[in-house]
Amino acid sequence: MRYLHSILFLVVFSSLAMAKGKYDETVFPTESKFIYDACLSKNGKVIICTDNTGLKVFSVENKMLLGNFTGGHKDKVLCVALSPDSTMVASGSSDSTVVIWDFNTHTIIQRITFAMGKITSIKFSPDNRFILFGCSNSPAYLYNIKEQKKINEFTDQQLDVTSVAFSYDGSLIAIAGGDKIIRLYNTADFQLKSVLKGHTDWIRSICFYNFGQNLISCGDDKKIIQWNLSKLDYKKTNTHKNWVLCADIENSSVNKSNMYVFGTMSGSIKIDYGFGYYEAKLYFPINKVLILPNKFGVIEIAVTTLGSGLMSISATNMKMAI
Amino acid sequence: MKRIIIISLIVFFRVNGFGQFLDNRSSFYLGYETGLNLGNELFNNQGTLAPSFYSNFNSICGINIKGILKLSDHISTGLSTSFLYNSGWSSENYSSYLNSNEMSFSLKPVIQYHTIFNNGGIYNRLKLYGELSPIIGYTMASLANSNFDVISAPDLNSQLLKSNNIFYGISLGGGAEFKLSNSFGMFANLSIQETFVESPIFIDNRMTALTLSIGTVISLSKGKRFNY
Repeated sequence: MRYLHSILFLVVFSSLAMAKGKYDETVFPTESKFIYDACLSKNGKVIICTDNTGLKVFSVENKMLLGNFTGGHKDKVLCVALSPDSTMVASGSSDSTVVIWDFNTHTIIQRITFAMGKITSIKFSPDNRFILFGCSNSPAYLYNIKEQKKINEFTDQQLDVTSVAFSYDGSLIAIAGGDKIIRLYNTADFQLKSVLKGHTDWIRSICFYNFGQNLISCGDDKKIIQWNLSKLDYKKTNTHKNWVLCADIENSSVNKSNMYVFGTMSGSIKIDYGFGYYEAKLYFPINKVLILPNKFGVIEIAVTTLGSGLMSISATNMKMAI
Repeated sequence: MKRIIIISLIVFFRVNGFGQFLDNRSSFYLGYETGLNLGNELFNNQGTLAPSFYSNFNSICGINIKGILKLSDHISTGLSTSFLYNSGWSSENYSSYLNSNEMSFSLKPVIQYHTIFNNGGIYNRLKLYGELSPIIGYTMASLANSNFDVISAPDLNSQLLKSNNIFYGISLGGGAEFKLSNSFGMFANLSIQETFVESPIFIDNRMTALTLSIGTVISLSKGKRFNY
């Protein structure tokens, strides 16, 4: 009886401290717990993630390490992209360099060093010929891989670029960041086609969907906005409680409600499947969410966290809400 | 019970130690401040020895409020204010200022050099800092008994029991901030301050104090570039 209070205190305190990962998440064996970005192969069987100053490739199915990209960067890698034909990987780093790797041999094809700021976002064009990358000191660059030259520098942004994207046919480029505006450029002449204004704070992530007819964006204003690009208007707006750092959305027909997932600064993950939500709380900032290919009707996502590594979570282990 | 608390803290650090806490752009510190007046019992002013007014106060207590804005990874700046109450004057050989007290309000523009939060481990939630600040303040000294006889104007006698003066000086300190969540934490700050004051009711013109503040930190805005 003498120590009963102390033991109870210890049990309650320890269980409170341990009450975090309860979603049966599967953690990929990365070196660092801080994973800034990840991307999937086109068939969704392979996932590539940043890991300290290199990259790691894993099998989505059994979480086995398939490959390691090292020696390309001097500082932490912040973003990664896989070319649509799965032959090249591009990585951008805090050391201001972009490295293009051969996906199969894991060797460096090119190192691009003209950027001045940290490379915060990178994407391949759908035809595998160009890469688009944004920097923390505001410009974004379009680079021709084969000719090894900078094609265009986008300098309209007033603050850091946090996300870049190509439309499905490669005719449009979207650039967003700290100045709260999404800028759409024609890739034919690099002219500014339109601006999307709706966010009231930093935009963190943008992504084209519905084969380029729509775009989803999210940011520090806690909003997730689905844009109708033909009308340059909102299709749907959703507000969360914390900074929304990332979002991913499935492709479907225009009239259908798309399932999308987003992650927040406070570690909340929410899957909106049209009729309700699946929710999970990880207590670490969620930097990237990816919807994994649907197997047997089970929704599964890959999540990169700042503090708890790369993991996959099945919606069956998440809390359901309407 | 001590053992249990230690075990609980170890479990807490072990389990939560790898959690990422982000360095915020602005933080407010609200703390209880206590301290110790340093200096000799007697003050020597050009050969005249007299009991020191400030050094013989045995109790300092008050509150401290500080606002800090992060300028770079290691440098922050801000403004700190303290409301302190000195009491419990005692001296072995003198009773000149018995039952006297002193209240002060001070303003300190602070420049702080601090560590950055690591990605994991204890330094993900513990931040150490050192700070330097000039001080300007207002002191209100109140004597219980007058030590002066004013012959020419006896009615002034009562006025000499109180004296309000401006003081100035410098403060050097350091401390630790411990995050419990991204927006809430605790801090402990130790500083030594040397200030100068001129008053008609006591002879010493210098205050040296060692103060300890303990309180809570509330972080308001997050740094936008937290993830790169």
